[in-house]
Amino acid sequence: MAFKPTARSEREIKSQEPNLIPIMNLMVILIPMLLLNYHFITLAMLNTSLPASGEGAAENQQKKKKEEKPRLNLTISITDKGFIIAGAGGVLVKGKGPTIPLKTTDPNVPQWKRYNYKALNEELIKIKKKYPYEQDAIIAAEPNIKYQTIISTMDATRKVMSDKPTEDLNGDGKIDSRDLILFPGINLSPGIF
Amino acid sequence: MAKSPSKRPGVGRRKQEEAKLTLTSMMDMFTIILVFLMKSYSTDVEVNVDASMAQRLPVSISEAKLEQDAEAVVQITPDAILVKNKHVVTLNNFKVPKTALDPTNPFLIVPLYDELNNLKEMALKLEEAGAIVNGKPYRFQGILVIKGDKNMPSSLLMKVMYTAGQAEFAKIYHTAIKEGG
Repeated sequence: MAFKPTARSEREIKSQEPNLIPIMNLMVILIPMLLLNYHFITLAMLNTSLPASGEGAAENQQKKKKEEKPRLNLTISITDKGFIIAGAGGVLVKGKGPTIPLKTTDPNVPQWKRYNYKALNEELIKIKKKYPYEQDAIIAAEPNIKYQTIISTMDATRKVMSDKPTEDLNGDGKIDSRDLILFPGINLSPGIF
Repeated sequence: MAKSPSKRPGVGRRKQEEAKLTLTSMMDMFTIILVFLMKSYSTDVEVNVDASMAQRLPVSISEAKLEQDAEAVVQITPDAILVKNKHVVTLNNFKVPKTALDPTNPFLIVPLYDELNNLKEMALKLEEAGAIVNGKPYRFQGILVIKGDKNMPSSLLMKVMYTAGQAEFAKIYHTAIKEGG
C-alpha cells in the first residue's frame, strides 16, 4: 500500500507569540524601584575640619602633622574686597588692598560671583609648586560672607580648575592626575579682622 | 424587495476572535527605561535632599563622596535649624535668637548642642553595646553633614560648626549640588 501524501505542506504556519506577562511583571516592579533610587540631582560633598577654636580629633591630627614638617599655614581670607592669601611668613601682597581683588563691585551681581576664583586658583598653583608636600589650608571668612562664596573658594583651593594636569605639583617627577590636587585639607575658621 | 441575507460564505458568521494585546512596543520602551535606570543606579552613601532644599544648596565642582552614613544631618534654612529633620532652633533670617545662645560663649547654640550631644551619646551607647552596622562593629566617627542655604552668612556657619565641634562631631561635610550634574 502506498503511503498517504504528507500533510506537512498544508499545515498552517501560526506565528507563536512569546508569553511576555512574567517579564512584564518584572518590569513593573523593577522600574518603580529604580525610579525611586534615581538621583535627579547629583550631590557633591565637601569635607572640612573644625574651626580652629573647636576641640576634637581633627586638631590632634594636625598636631601630629605639625611635628613632621614645618607648616606653611596657608590662610585664605575672604573679605568683602577680595581674597587675602597669607602664609607662615607673611601676607602675599600685590599692590594695595587684598591679594586678589573682586572682579566687580556691582551690587546687582550675586556676592559669590564677584570673586575672582580663577586668579585665586592660579596663585595657589604657584604656592603648591613651592610647597609640594603641603596639604592643608585655612579658609577664614568675614561674618557677612555667604555660604556659596565659601564653597566656591573651597573648590578653588582644593583642585586645579582645569581638566588636565599641566605641571608637576606634587614633586614626584611625573605629571599625572594627582597633580590636579592643591590643598585638600581645609580648615574653616571664623575670620578675625 | 427586502435584501435577502447574504449568501456569501463567511459574512454574518464571522468568528469572534480573542483580542490580543501587542506588548512588543511596550516591552521595547520598558527595556530602554530599565537599562537607563540601571546605569544610573549607584550604591554610594547618599544624603536625602528634598526638592525645596535642593534649590537652596550651594553649587560646587567637588567630586568627593561621603565615606559612610552620617551620624547627624544638620539642615539650615533662613527660618530654622533642623537636626535629622527635627526642628531645633528657630531663626529669624539666619539670625540666632539671643535666648538660644550660650550667655558666656556667643558661638555656642545651646539647643543644637543638646540635640547633637544626645545623638552622640546614643551612638556611644550603640558602640558600647557592640552594635553591628553593615557587617562591621559600629564605631562613632563624628560625621556630620551640613545642608545649608547658599545665602547663609559665614557667621552662622561658624556657630554651627563650633557647636558641632563641642559635641565631638569632628568630620564635617558640606552638601552642595554638583555643577553640571
